Amino acid sequence: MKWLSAVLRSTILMMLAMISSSCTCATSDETRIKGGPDRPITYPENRVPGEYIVKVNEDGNEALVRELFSNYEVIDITELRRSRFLIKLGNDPGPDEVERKGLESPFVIRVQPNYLYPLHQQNEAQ
Amino acid sequence: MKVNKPFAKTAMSWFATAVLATTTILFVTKSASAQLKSAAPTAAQARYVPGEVLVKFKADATDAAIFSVVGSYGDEPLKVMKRRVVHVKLKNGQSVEEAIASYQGDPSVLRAQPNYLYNLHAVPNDALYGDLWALKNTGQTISSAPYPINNPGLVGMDIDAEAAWDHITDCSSVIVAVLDTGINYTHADLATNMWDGGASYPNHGWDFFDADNDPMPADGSPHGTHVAGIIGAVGNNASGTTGVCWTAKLMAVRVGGEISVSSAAASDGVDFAVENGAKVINMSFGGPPEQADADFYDVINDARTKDVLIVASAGNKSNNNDINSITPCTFDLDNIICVAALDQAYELADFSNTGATSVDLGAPGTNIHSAVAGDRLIEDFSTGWVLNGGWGIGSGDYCPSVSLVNPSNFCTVFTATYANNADDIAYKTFDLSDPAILAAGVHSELELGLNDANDSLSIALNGAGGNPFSISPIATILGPFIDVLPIGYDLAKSGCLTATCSIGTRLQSDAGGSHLGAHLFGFHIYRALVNATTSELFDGTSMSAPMVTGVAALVWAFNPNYTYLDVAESIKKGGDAIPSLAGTTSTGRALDAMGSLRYINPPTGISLSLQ
Repeated sequence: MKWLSAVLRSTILMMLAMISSSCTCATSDETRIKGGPDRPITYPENRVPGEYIVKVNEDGNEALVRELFSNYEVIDITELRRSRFLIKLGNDPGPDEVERKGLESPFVIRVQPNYLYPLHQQNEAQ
Repeated sequence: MKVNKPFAKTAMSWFATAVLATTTILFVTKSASAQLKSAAPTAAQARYVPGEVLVKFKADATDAAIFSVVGSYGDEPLKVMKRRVVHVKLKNGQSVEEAIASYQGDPSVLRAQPNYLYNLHAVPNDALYGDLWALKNTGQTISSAPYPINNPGLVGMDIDAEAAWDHITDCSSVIVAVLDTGINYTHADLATNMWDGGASYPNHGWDFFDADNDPMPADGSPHGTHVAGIIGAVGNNASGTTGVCWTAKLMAVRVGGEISVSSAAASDGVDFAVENGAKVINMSFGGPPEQADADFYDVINDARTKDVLIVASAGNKSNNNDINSITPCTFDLDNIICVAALDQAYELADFSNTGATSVDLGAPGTNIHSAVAGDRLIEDFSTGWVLNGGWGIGSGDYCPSVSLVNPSNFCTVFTATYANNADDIAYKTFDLSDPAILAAGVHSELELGLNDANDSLSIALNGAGGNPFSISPIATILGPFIDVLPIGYDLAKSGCLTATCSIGTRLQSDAGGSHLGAHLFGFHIYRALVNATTSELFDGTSMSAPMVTGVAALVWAFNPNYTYLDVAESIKKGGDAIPSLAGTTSTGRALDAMGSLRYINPPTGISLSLQ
């Protein structure tokens, strides 16, 4: 389901705003005026919403990870290197809760958000 | 730059001078004894005529004696020069080093040496070389420059590349991984400098963003190709630009799109690069949250144990990284070099992050000309848009340029809001059928205010043309929401590289109140083109890091026995002291390619006694 995966990611990328607070793309202050004091601007978190990296020990596997987080609707799971799994949750309770849930399990070593890092390009000629 | 060379300042300059006098080339090791033993040039340093030596005989040696000695070794005297120096052709199979050792032991010989080669000052013939102020700053003015400050800059404020190129231009013995948005590996100025991944990796790397074997920038992003060109665009090929390395092995590791890089992809990307032999990894991205990204920290730390150097950009927010940490730059790992940006006068670029303890040095990062993946179609919203409901094309006080907006008076009325019960669609059809297009993607800015969860904005694509919302949208943003954000999406993977690629947006609302609406601007389509010859000017610490990466590859190719620490020390301590970097970086220095090549770690364990 590679195409679906790309679509999901595009969705996530757009919903996230990805670090617009740290994005290097030029954004005119004028465009922010309409956000004004009575319309506070949100600052999305610098992580892919719903995505977490779960590192497991030798007892962990994909099925166990999927089962562990089933209450949060695991909509996708991808095996990464180093005994890690990238999970996508349809019902994301937030990093603190996901980490708490993960560390309850004896086979989970670590849970962290899938962080996002902006490119460090500042401007480009038009 | 010709100022304040640390080489000249070292207390051990006598020692370095002796090395220079014997070989003209530098060798750096951890101890004086190893230093002296390393006098035989490595392959990368062998700048003499193979199969020939010059032998100087003692003054009392007769011609007959000279011919006799040379003949006794089976060699052939080509010419007796002045001062009893004989140009000797060696017998087949004999190395220059062996011959020198033999002649040096002969009682009639005063000394023997290789027949050294000397180059004219190495200046590449690339068409755009005159624009590359970072490599040779002549005080040139950069046309259409995105960064207006100090353009032109100051003569000599550059990385001293030409002096370094007198010694080495070929970095191909050092694999350099570019963790980025992908590289257009068909680009005319990069194709021959790409890493050969063999049958396993036929496209010169891997794509961890889309999880496939093709690291072509699937969204057309120019960023990774630009970075790669700075490191290793083919030099002296009479076209385009030149990299710091004229010849290179560039490994493409795609870990993100035009907007950002994810931790999962970057971590796997580092592992891939290390497993496949990369010695230097460039990372022109980063951001918070420092050590919280334990996965990323672990893979970079493991790369350190495998003698791999990481070069990372400091960031572009004018922040102090000592206070606002940036991953990966501020990881406490000594195999990371963190790089700030300098302008054409070697002033700190106004956007560059700094850090007296966390940023190592500065390198050119403004108005940097390098290869890009292809071209871009800039949408001016003047023609072709089908506008329904509240959509309009507008401009005014609240829009930086002509924009696609909903409501249509978004740009002129501060209090304007979209309509209740809206179901408004706007779209345009683009021709992307040119077979030269390898990949393409839309990039734009979106200012968006949505009232509640019953209001939404969607994006849809349809390669068959017409209303793109005849099929499912690729993305939907639900309210409540207000922000200005960059957006980007691939077109190739959505089947939109056709003559009728329709791209559209849809705003839907209920009756329960409205909000700011949508303001789409800066809309363009990046296209990665086969055998591209395109290049552009970019700014950013993204451009500074690959300058350092290129020099790291040069230094490592020149000294294959170096460790990552040797290379890092050469770069940090071989740089030029620059006022604007004093107190804002840990070294106070700017990148200097020649200074890095000739930097010698002071030997330890030496004791001298006067007699």
